[in-house]
Amino acid sequence: MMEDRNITKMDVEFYLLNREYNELSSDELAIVNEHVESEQEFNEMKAVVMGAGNFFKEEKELAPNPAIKVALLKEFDKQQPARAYWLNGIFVSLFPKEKRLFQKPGMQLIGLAASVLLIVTIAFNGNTDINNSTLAQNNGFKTEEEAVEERGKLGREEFAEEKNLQENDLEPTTEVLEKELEVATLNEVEIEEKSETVENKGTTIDFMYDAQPIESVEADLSIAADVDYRRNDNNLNASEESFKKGVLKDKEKVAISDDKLVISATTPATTEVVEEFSMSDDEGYFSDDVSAGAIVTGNNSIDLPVNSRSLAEDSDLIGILYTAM
Amino acid sequence: MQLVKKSYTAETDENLMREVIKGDNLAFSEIYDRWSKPMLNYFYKMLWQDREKAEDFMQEIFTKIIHKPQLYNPSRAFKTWIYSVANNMCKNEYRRAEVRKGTSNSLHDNIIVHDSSAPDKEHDKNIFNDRLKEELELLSENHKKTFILRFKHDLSIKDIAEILETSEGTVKSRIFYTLKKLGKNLKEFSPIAKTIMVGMCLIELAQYII
Repeated sequence: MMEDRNITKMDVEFYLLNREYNELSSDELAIVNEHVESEQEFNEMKAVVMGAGNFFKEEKELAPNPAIKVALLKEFDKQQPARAYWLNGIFVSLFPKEKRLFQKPGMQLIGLAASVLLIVTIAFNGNTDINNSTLAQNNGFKTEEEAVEERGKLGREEFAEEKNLQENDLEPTTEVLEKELEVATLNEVEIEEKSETVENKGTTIDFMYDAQPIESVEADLSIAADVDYRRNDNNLNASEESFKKGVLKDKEKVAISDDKLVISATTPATTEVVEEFSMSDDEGYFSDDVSAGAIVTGNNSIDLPVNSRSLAEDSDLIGILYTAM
Repeated sequence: MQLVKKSYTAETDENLMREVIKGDNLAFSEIYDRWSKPMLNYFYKMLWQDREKAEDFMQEIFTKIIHKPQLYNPSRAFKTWIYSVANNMCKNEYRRAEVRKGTSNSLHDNIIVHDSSAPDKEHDKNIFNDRLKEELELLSENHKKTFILRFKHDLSIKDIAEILETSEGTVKSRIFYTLKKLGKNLKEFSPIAKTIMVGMCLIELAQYII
């Protein structure tokens, strides 16, 4: 009921603004008469509504003093620097001028952060996992004892084979040659380890396969060695011939260490000498064999011809190399 | 100029207030330009037509916006919010005036001066307007507020109800009551009001014909 009454009041306001009393329809008049006692009252109210509207329209509005806006904008700007001062306060407290550089809290914090960063970097980047596939692994590594034992075994087998060949006057089989190469490989490893102690090192030619390409390796080879190779090529052929006959005059070795391919020629040695060393002492045998290009007998050093070939020049050598591998 | 300065003239009050909260002084300037005049005139009407007091109150309401912009809820219409803040400021001033009335003899004279003896000649150019102004001052605060918001600031019944924190029915009732009371008190000026109305209609008609 109250809601309806309010609506009709709104309607009365509408009629006051838009209708004359005598223009009202019967329905509108019924609504108006519910709240307005008479036509006179209606007109009085209408006069007030119209007059008030006119009054407020005509009324000169006050304009604010411009100084108020200036003052308010200054006040507003004061709020913004407050934030800047706050940040400035942090900076000043972190980097006070009166303290030394390393005593400033900001610098200490930076140092601390850098330390943490460094530790984290090391901790997470330090690869301690041995099974990590990215690590280089030397699975074929053998202990010194194992290597010595294997060398001895191979040496004895070789000696037995050679002896057998001598007795039977037979040519060495592929198997024998392979074993020979294996012995040579092991010997070459020994050479590498003890190369600093060897007097005449110039005759040993190393190819650094991993370190540089084959072309550069060839370039690195000493010209003298190359010339020696050509000069002694005939000797090599002769030594191969004699080897086949059971007399080891010139021993050519192809050795592969972890990262090096070593081709070298050792001094001619008779089977008898080998036999003597291998039977008496494996170490002695190999240590003598290491002295490539020279046999040290007491204080006298005897230069011997050295035969060496590069892989590029002799395709047979590559085949032998793979066989050895 | 548009490239250098962001224009806020097309922005709504609510968006401007969002910028004010972020610290944009241009947005604040725009808000001030829009609402300083209505606020000043509202306070002037509500606070005994005291211009100095009205300016003080207008400055105070914008200072509140500067210091506590977060008090404004952007989901609410800015117009109703600022009027409700102004209304509350007026209420507080009425209470203080009541206290002063009990302790000071000069306060009553001051009010009387504003009510009747010093009509603003600049604003009231005829007797009807003077009387209407006087009658408005004699109204109760609630009726006066409602009437001014309705007929001077052209606010809807809904907005007025929100500003005054009351129901729409109460607002309608107050408007009707005020009209009835003013009509009775100004009935001797009824012909004048009619003349004004007729005169305005004639002027509009003449303008239309020309």
